[in-house]
Amino acid sequence: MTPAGWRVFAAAVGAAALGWGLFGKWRAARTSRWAVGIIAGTLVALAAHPGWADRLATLPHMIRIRLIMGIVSVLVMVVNVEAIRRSRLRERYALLWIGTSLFILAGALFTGWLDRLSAALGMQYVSIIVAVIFVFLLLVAFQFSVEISRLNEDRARLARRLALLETKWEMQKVGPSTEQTPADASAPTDSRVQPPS
Amino acid sequence: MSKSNPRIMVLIPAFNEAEGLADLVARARKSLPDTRVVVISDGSTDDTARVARSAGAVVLDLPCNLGVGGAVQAGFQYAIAEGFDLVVRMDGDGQHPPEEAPKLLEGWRATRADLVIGARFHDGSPFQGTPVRQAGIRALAVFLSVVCRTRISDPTSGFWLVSRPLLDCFAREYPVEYPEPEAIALLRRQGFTLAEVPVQFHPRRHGRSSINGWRAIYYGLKVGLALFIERLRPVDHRLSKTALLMKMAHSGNTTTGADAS
Repeated sequence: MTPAGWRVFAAAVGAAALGWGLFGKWRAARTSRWAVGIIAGTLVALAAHPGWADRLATLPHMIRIRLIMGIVSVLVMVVNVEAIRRSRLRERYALLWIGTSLFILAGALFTGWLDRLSAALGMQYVSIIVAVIFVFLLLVAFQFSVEISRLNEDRARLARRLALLETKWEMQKVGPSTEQTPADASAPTDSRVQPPS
Repeated sequence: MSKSNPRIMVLIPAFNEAEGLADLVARARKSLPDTRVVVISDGSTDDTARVARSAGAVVLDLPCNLGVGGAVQAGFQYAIAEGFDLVVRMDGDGQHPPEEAPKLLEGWRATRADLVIGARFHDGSPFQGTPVRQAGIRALAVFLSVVCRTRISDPTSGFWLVSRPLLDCFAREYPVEYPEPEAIALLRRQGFTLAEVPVQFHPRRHGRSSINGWRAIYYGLKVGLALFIERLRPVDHRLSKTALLMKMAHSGNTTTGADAS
């Protein structure tokens, strides 16, 4: 495709996403729609004025890396907040992620302490390849966090149901206000799950 | 709930509280006669379940530890399945004296609020502990008061009376860890009301607060994040007060208490 063709294509995709973000009912998720709207707006702006991409290419190396890291950390935060909002992720697991992204954001905004750290450790500034691998690892680990949350919820649901059934069963057998039930003898501490932390 | 005499259940979540639980159950049965005392043993590894049973309580012995929120939610589901109208919830460590529970009931009769909170009234202030902790609880109280447009002086108290349509809401959706402040924000969002009644707390009988040191920092971060995100959530219309009231009117009392989601 010609450069003009790409511009028309990007503008079309951007406009479609913008429409979806602004008017679509995407499970009535407000923050997702904002995110889609920002991406769409960027696409439309790039399509309308491709000189932005050229200007970006002329920026110093460090500035570009810092931009990318900043954008990644903000995206991680948005995704985390949205996942909690949809009850797909528990705050317990999100705190680590948000902490990490705040750390990266601090590195992107203020380089002084990073320079001092890299000088102290004798290492170069992170290369863009490491950053890309890092992003993938973030995605994989994030998925794990969501899975853990879901499994925890299933486990809790099972435990509640089991306890309700057990009580019903015992009451049918011996009536509600007896002092001792036969199940007591068989319910010592066996393979109980220890509480988290 | 047109009955003149609501059916009341006392709900006590307990994790390894065998010591002192028998006394607590007996006092609860004495100060709130004609109620069923239900102890949720949250995966306890000691004698909690057996002690509570022999003291005359109905026991839900959870096979694994769900956290306070998960345990309390099991109690709410039990209350609905058994057709109770009101649930009085108190801690298993004895810091909520059962003798004060009738005050919650009086508060409910006077206000008909969906949730009545027993606010700790100790030397005129509910805030105790280190200055940081006091400041944290005070900030929580101010934030929730603004959000709920009602004065909330003790947002971390778990000495509660929960009435029927709210019970259905909590049976389906309830926070897992440190649930009280989040639950207050949740009920506000779904259109329920709350009221506070001053009560006298006992100093903790055994053990110390589980929220100290690193836990306190985690508590602050977790509850802060949850309350921030709570502001971004839309109303869940299936769990709003009006929807649940209509459902109750249509179906009598056939809610199963099972997780519907």
